[in-house]
Amino acid sequence: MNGAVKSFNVKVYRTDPADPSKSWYDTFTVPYERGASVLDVLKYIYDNLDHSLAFTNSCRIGKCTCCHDRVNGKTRLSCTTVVDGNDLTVEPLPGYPVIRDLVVDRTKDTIAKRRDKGDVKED
Amino acid sequence: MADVSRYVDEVINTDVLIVGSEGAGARAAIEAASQGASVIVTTKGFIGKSGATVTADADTDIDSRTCIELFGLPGDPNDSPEGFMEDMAIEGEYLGDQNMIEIHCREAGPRHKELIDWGAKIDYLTHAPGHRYPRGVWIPGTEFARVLTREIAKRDIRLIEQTMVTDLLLTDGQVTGALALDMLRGRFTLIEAGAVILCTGGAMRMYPHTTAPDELTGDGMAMAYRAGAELAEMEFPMFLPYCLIKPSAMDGVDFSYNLSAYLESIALNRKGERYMAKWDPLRMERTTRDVNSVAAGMEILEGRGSPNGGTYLTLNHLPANLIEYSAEWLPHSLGNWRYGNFKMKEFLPDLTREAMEVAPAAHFWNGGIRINELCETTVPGLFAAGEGTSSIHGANRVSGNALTMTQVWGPRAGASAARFVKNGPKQNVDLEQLAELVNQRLSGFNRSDGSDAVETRQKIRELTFTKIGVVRNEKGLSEALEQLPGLRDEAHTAKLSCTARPYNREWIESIQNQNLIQVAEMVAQASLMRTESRGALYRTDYPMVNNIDWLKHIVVKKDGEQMNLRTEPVNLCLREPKREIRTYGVKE
Repeated sequence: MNGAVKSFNVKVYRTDPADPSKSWYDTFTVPYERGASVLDVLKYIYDNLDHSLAFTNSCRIGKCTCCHDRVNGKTRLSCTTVVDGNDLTVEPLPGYPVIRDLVVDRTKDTIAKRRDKGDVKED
Repeated sequence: MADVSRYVDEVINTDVLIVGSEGAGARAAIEAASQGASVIVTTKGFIGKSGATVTADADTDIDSRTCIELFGLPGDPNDSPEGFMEDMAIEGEYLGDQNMIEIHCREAGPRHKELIDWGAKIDYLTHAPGHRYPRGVWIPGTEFARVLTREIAKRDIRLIEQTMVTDLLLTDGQVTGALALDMLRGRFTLIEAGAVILCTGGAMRMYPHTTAPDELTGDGMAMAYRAGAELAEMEFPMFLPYCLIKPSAMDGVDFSYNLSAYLESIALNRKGERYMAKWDPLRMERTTRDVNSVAAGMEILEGRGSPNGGTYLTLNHLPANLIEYSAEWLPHSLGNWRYGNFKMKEFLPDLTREAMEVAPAAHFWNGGIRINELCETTVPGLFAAGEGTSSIHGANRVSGNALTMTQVWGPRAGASAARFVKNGPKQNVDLEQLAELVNQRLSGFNRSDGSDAVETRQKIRELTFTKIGVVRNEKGLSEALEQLPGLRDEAHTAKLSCTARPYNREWIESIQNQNLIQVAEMVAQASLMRTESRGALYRTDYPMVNNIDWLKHIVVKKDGEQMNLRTEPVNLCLREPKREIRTYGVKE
């Protein structure tokens, strides 16, 4: 994320890797760039500020739907959610046990359940 | 097996282990299960939500006459499987094995018929460049994923998601299973298997810009290499021109490339020069995608690119209302400024005023693990199918043929592996080998000092783009080969900043880095050996296609700690090219 002119704060849900019931929020200051996504912001934090941040993603274009997070209280695909330079809060997808930070255990969405009821949707 | 619990948290057993759950892997699983084999499928992500298939946007090739006969599509009856074979041979610049091509073209129809019978919906038939007839049956990747996921769910197939197979296990040269890392919990599983099928896709993630999902890190190719299997056509990673590099959220998105096919788009370097005039003054940006990619690569590497390492693609010569109207009639996902789940106007600048920053993005892996018509590798018990296998596309893949590859070769691999298990004697897992591999994989947690996996990834991307990318030459390739061993040592001595094993992104990345570097070395070695330009390989020091000396495969194989390369003649049983030296980018 080059060419930054201003920065903003990102509040990220964190857990103790040994005990995910212990949680807190870390606030990171990241540079703002036009056309960055929430996923870009998470990658920026992981690359530059904290290699221990846990989150998942795959396709980066909103088709695979495995980067569902809670962004400012709403369920979003982080890869196609634009950031606008205002402060952000990113939390794990609700309704699932947290494994670590933003990574949840989705094994209760069995293949049969996904087949019959479809996938998590954005709010 | 009493003390195996010292090394792994779980031991499971199957006839056939399939690594990768999408186009090829799912088809392999369905076929192996239908032949009575017990089947385990692993994926680094979720089934239907990972790998390249779901992102395909997406024609799948079947000859036009078969399209009429099997699906009632408005094809051209003058086409035939033989016509498709010819076009594949020509577009692959005669490096595709013509036996394999024949199987591919004959089985494309029946294998897709099964997919349609399972409920896949065809949108329409399209006519893509490189094909003499309309052969692109439009079935989006999301539709492949939906149907194949449902078919897997119907069957007695065990699916293990968010799990990375890190290493193959061998006893006396025969595959006995694999070591798998449950990424979510950070635990190891020993999967004992009579046969393993690698359906792991390409290694496009070694490049800074790619259309591929993040997990395509060449794991299968690297594992196969380490296991002693042969690989071929490794010098032909394929690039797509005019992919976005900015905004960062859309890095690698091919929206701009697709747009350039429908709206007159102009490519410019930093000096505002229309550099395509040097390459194809008549067709300019309408020339082939290889020439477009090479031309852009030269501008970027010679210092005439944009600030973020691309070139510019502009629509600014067009009136604003024309550009706005295009969203209404542009086909597929381009319409209404939507791409995937992107609302593009949130991300892109105003295209009537600003140019897009674009670059050639790694798009497909033409070569890979060497297989025969039964999808056997040279290692007993090891099979492979889909992207990341060689012998089918040759030096270049024709549009739409990636999905066809999954549907034809996945089932073949499944059937062969099931047969192998039924007939073959099984070997026991070598526990010493298992222990050593687990220790290696955990070493980053014990290191007090070491390299940074993120920095290593950034170094890999810089090296690949400048030295083994869309434009190559002896100087760059030799430099790459000097730097890669150091980078390999660096990747193998990563120090993990957090010692907790559950979903440890840095740990996963450090393993993937090792695989990417292994594959990068094969690309560099094979590219250096091939002293010509052909298909997806362009060498500035050998810019001509040499059909006198280079109608050959380059086969790569591990020999002790050395990488051994040799050439082999190509099977030209259907069609022979003229034995001549000719200009790159000009097809017969």
